[in-house]
Amino acid sequence: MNTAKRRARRIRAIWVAVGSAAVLLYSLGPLLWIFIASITPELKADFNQAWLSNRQVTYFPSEPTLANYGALFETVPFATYFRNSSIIATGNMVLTLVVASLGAYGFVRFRFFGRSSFLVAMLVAYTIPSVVLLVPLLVIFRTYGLNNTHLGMILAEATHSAPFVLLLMINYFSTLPRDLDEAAQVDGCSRLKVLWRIILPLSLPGLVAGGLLAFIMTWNNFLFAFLLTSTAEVKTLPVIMRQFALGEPAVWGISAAGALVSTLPVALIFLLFQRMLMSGLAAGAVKG
Amino acid sequence: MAQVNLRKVVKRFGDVEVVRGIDLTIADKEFVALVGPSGCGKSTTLRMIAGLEEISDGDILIDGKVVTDFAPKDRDIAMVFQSYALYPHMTVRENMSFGLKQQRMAKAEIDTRVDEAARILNIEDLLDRKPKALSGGQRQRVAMGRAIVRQPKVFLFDEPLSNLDAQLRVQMRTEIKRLRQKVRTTTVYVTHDQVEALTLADRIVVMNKGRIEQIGTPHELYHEPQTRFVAGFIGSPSMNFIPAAIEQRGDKLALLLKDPDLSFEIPAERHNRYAGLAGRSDLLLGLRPEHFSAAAGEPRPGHGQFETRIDITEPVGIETFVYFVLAGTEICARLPPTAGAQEGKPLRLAADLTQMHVIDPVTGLVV
Repeated sequence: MNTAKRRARRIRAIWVAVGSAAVLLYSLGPLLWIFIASITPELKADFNQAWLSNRQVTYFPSEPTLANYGALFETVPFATYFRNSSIIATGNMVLTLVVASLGAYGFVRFRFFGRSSFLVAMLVAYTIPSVVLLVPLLVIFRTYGLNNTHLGMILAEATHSAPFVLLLMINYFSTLPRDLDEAAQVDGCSRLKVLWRIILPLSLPGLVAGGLLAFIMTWNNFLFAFLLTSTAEVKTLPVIMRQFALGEPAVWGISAAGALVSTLPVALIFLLFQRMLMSGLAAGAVKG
Repeated sequence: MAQVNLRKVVKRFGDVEVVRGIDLTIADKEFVALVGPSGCGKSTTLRMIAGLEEISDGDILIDGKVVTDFAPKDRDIAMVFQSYALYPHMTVRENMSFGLKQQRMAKAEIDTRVDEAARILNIEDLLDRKPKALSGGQRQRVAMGRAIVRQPKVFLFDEPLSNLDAQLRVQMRTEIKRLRQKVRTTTVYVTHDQVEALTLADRIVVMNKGRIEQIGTPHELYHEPQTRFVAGFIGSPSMNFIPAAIEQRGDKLALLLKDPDLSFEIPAERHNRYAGLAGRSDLLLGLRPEHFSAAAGEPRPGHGQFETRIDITEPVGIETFVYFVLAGTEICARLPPTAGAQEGKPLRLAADLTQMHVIDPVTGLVV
C-alpha cells in the first residue's frame, strides 16, 4: 500500500519534470540558438548571391568567437541605439509611474463627477491599437516640434503604458485601507504627502511591477520607434534589429549578438525583481 | 483651553440625512462619549469633528475658532482608529513620531515625547518593531501613543476597543481610564458599547437616527433617562417595558397590569408626576432587572408583589438572570443566586416601584 503510493508519487514527479523540461526547452531553445549563432564566425559574403547568407549554422561551432559582439559596437552605432532605448524606456517608466500613481490615487480615494466615465475612457484608451494613434501623434509631434526627440518618443510610448499601469495601480491602491490615509491626514499630511509618505511606500511591489511593465513595453516596442523616428539619434534597438535581419547580406552573427545584448537588460531586471513583480501583479499582498 | 462646539451640524449623503442638526458643547478637558446603535450618526459626527467628513450644514468650533473648512491637519486633533491604522512600513517609533515630524519638530524633542509616551503606555520594548509583529492590544497602545505624543487640543477615539477580544477590551478600558488621569485633554469617544461609555465618560451623548436623544452624566442617563430609547439603550440587561394603565383610586394612584390582573399602589412621592396620566391605559412601565427581588413576607412600602412562573434561569455566578412573562411581555430580573428561582417553578417576586419609570408611548418620552 505504502510502497504503491510512493511509486505513484515518483511517477508523477517524473512526468512533472518531463513536462517542465519540455516547456523550458520550448521557451529557452531559441535563446540558446541565438547564443550559438552569436558566437559562430561570420563568413565572407558570396557577392554573386548577396541576398543569401551562405553561412552554415552548426550546433557546436568549430571556432567559437566573440568577434560578432565586437563588430556590433564597432561597425554599427549599436551603443547609440542602446542608449536611446534606455533613455526612452526609463523616461516612459518614470512618466507612466507619475501619471498612474497620481491618477490611481484620485480614482481610488475621491468620488467626483464623471468618475466612472473617466475610468471607462481609460479602459477604452488602453484598447485602442497603437497604429490608430500614429497619425494624431505625428500631427502633435510636428505642431510641438517633438519630431525625432526623446521626449516625443517618451510621450508617445506613455499613451499605451500609462492607462495599463493606471489600472494596475487602481487595483493595488484599492487594497490599502482608507484609515491609513485618514490617520496620516490627522497626523498633518496633505493629500499629496499621504500619497508620497504612506501609499507609495506601501505599494512598492505594485510600483515595481507597473514600472517594469512600462519599461519592457517600451523596450520591445517596434512600431512607434520605427514609424515615428527618422534619425539614428532617436532610433531604438528594435529598429536596428530589423535592419540586421533585412540587411543584404543578412549579418546573422552580429544580428544574434545584438539580439542577445538587447535581451540582457530585461532579463536582468526580471531576475532582480522577480519576487516583487509577482506579488505586485497579484495585488493585495500588503496587509496591515 | 480647548472647547469643542457643534452648532446645528448636518450631514447628508445624497438625499439621506445621517446627522440631523445636532448642537453639542464639550467643555475643556472633558471626556465625552458618543453612544448609539450602528447607523445613528455617532462615527460620522466624530469624523466631522476630525475634518475627515465634510459638513453639509452648520459649524464646528475648536477652541473658539470655526474649523468647518479646515483640513484635518490644521485642526490640532489626534485620532485613534478602530483598525488602529498604524503605518505598516514604519516601526513603532516611526509611527509615533510621524505626526511630530510633519510639524518639523526638533529630533531631540520628538525623542523625548515618544519615550515619555512609550513609558506611560508601557511599550518601551516595542519601539523598534513593525506593527505586524505586535498583538492586538499592543497595536492599540501604539495607536494611543501616536495620539498622545502630538499633545493635541482634542483626542478623538473611534470605537478603539471594538477589535479586541472581551478580556483585553476590559483591560484596555482600564488603561484608557488610567491614561486619562495622566493626560487630561478634551476627548470625544465613540462607542456602541454602553458599558465603555458609562465607565469612561464624564458625560455621555446618546444618539439615535442622527439626533441627540439625551446628554448627561452616566448617573443621570442610568437613573433619569428622558426617552424610551435612552431608557432601553443604557443598562445591561436592558430595562423591561411592561404595558400598564394608571387609575385614580380615591386620593391614591394605582398602577394596573393585565394578565395576570395586578394592581400596585404608586408611591406617594410620584403622585404629582403621574397625576395627569390617570385614566390612560396605553402606558409603559419601565423597570430595570435589578429592581425586582424575591418577595419575603409583607410588601415593603413602595414595592408591589406578584406571583409568577420562571421560564429560564441564567446563573452568572454572583447573580442569576431570571426570565418570566408578565403582562404578555418577557421580563428579565436580576436576583441573587440564593433567591431560589428554578425553571418551570413558581416564585413570588417584588417590584421596586420607587425606581419605576412611566413612558408615554405616544411621545416616546419618560414622564
